[in-house]
Amino acid sequence: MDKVFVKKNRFVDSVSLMSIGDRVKQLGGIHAAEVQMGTPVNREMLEGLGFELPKDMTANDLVIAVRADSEMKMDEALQLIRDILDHKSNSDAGVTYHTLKEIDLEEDPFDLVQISLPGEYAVAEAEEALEKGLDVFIFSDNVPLEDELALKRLGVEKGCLVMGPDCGVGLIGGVALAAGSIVAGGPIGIVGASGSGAQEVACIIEKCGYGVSSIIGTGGRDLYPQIGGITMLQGMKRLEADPETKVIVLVSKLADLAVMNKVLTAADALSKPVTAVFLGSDGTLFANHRAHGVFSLEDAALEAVRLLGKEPPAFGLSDEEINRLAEKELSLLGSEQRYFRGLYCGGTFTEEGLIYFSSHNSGVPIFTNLENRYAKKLPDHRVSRENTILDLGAEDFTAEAPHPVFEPALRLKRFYQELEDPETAVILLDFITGPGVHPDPITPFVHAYEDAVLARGKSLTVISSICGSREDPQNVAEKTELLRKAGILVMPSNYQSSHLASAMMTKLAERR
Amino acid sequence: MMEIREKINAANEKAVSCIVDSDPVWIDILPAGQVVDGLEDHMILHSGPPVAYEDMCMLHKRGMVSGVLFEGWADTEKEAVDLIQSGAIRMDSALNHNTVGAGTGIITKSVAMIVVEDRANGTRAATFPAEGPFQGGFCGWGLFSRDIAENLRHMREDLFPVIREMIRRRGGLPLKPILAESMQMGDENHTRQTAADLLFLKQIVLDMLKTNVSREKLYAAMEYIVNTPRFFHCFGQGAARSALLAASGIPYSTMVTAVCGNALEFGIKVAGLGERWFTAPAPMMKGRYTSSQYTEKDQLPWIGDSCVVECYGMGGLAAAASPIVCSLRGLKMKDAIAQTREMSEICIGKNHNFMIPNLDFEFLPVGIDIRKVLKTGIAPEIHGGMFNHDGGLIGAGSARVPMLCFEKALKAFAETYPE
Amino acid sequence: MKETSEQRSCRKRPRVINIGLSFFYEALVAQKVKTVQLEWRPPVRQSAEIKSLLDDLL
Repeated sequence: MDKVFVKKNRFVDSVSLMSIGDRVKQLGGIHAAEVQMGTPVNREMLEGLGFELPKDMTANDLVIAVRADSEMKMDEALQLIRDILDHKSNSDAGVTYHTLKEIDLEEDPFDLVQISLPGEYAVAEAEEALEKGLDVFIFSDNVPLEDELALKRLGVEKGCLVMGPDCGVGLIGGVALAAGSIVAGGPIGIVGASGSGAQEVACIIEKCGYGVSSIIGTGGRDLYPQIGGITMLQGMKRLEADPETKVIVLVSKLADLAVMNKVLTAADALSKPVTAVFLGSDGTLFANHRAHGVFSLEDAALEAVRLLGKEPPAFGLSDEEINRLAEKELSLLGSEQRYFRGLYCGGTFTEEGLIYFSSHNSGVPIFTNLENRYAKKLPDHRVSRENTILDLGAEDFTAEAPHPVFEPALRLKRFYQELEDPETAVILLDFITGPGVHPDPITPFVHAYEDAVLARGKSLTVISSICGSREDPQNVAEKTELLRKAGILVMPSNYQSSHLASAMMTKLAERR
Repeated sequence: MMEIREKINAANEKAVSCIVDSDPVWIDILPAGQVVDGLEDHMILHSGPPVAYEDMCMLHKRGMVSGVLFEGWADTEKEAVDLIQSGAIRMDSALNHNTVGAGTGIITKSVAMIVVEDRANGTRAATFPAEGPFQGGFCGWGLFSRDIAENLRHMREDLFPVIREMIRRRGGLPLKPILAESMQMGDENHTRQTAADLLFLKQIVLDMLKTNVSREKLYAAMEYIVNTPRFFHCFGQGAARSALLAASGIPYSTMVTAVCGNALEFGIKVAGLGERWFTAPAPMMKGRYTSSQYTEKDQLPWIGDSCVVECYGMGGLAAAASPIVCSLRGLKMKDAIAQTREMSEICIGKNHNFMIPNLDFEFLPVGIDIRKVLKTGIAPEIHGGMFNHDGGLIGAGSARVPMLCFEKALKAFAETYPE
Repeated sequence: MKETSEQRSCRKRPRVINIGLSFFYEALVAQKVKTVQLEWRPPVRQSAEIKSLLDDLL
């Protein structure tokens, strides 16, 4: 729906106007947002976008033109525009701080510092934050391991959490940090060394009708022997002390054995029930511990619900349903289509997928860009070979471009590449949503797929899952519809996607 | 430790008040030899810190020859060069005297100069007026030709007597009100003084009409003033220089009193360190070229003393007042404001005479403190035109004063004022 | 009584200082969190001598 407002004789300078459209689009569900002076050039531009403008609009008038998906989004957009226009430009409103030192917490209280500076600068700021008694969330990577240890020790001393470095996801007090999702509040607390892993667990919990009290990210190296799980242990302590949290979930990839045991031992001492997944582990890890060991992200979510004393709703597809779907998809493929291509943003999803295929399709050779025990390393990460599962958030890709959750262009380009390969049978995608990531990572992929199907005349299977919550600005429900309408499968979890792909892989192998 | 800091801060307050409480008044037009202290016969002043003739850039060398020819100390270029090389010509930095050398800054005793008297501080400074059609010309670009010589004569003998009569009869023209108002109208008074030119004109036109000269002479004088772009530039420089002369020599003050370049080196002076120079390699300006054919290769590093106005709190420090000047460097309004706010962090105080609408009517910062420059790592941003090696204007931009100047100055300060 | 950091982390809606990527700041603003974007600058590199002089004189 379109709405156009003209404010007569209201002048706003071009610099202030510049950023408004972008900010509004970030709300998600907004296809166009323009706030401009009514000059002839802008009139042309707006009419070109399909907006109907009043004839008596002049260059002295301010015109607001918004195209939104829904009434709700429209209202939100207009409110935001009103808020921006009615206040002075951001730099004038309120104080500017250049350093943490300047901030007097008595006068201007804060609780948390979120740091995304280049690694070499992150440490000094984190230290300063801890000295002030603030919790720290460090998105930055390239922080030396010794510095991470020193920071985490300082954090313990000050009673503050050090989430990170290299921490991509957090949910603290209902607020999504970095690439996290805005998940419904509830009694399950998550501590995760893996960002996308923790987020997937949280989103599945929400899909089951429950909520999350916190997602405490520890950063990817917290379970290294040099660090010894400091933040995971601290996070568990916080959740133990938190009256909202009734059940605790631990999420990680497989880590150092001694550290995992240390963590599980600490969990044993908690009063609250714990479920834990260390992707790639087997049952022996949990043998002498109270924590309920599970082996997939979705199981971590479902088990957490059970530990609340509830029965989770039916989640995921039965084996029968999976097989039926696999057969159906395969019947649409041509005989030369034989390969599986996974294009993942989330490192943990890549890991979960690789583990699944290596255990259920052990005969099938799989390539990846990662150094990984479950697959072979690709000679050139830019070119897929046979069955290839990629982590596009890994360094070989992010060295040349921003992480795909922020800027989908590189992954989209790779998607086109795989779509054009006549031997591609199945493409796996994950979509991650949240207020801090790209406002619409999904639509471009839908269009690319539709174009490819139209151009090629035949189909290829795309299996996706969306790691996102109801509150996320990207509008997950709507995007799910969009994907399905285009013929892209949307599975309720990454594990389910892997399950389906694996079933297809098995059947394909049988046919040959 | 506290004692010296207090002494410095008190001295800086005093130094800043030389600027803030200054009362610069244009009083006269006189030959440089009569108003520039220490400018003698067979002496030529130039812009930037002191530099030996052999080391000078082409523009200065050319300017030295032009100075000799202009004064008639030699008749041909060759003779001029010989005379210079014989050591018969004394050369010195304009900023070692009560004057300013904008551009190449060639000043000799016979050049007619605008005289500014700071009635609050009791100091006088002289600056050279623009040369009409030869905007740069002799003083600005060290050029000399028959036409330029003739123009200088014409200015001196035909135009200035009229203007001089006007200003002497009037008893002087206060310059600060013009500077203050012009900075509310989009000028920063270094590279842009469009409003100041108009305000100045309005101030003097009636008095000019009252002068007792023929219509032709009056017209010629008015035409010179009206048609010379940036006419007011030298008055702003004079206002700045006369105030800063008063601040020079205040013991313990860390305020910058001069900033300049000679295409090889950039130099600063500090109030508490008197006439000593602290130099570093001259920076290249960054900005936009007037044509895409130009690149940094064509550019001459900083030459000129006009950044004396930055020391007075105008120019680059007043960026917020002049977003148009900043837009020439590709900046937006918010960047212009940010630049002034950044400059505030290295300044001693605020100048209540310069209240700026774009800053929500806050005052402009004033008085560059070498300690704050080093502490914050923020160097003063100086506005200016970009020039090529022949002195042609090829763009507009800005440059930062090199940190090395401040480091040297601070070390010298510590030696001069041990605790 | 000053809040312990335990109490703080469990309170609703933390107040967040953002240092670095501005779209993370925008994401906090969109969530209506009390937040501020630190106008961060890289630290100044100074020689030990200058640093010591500044400690005395400024």
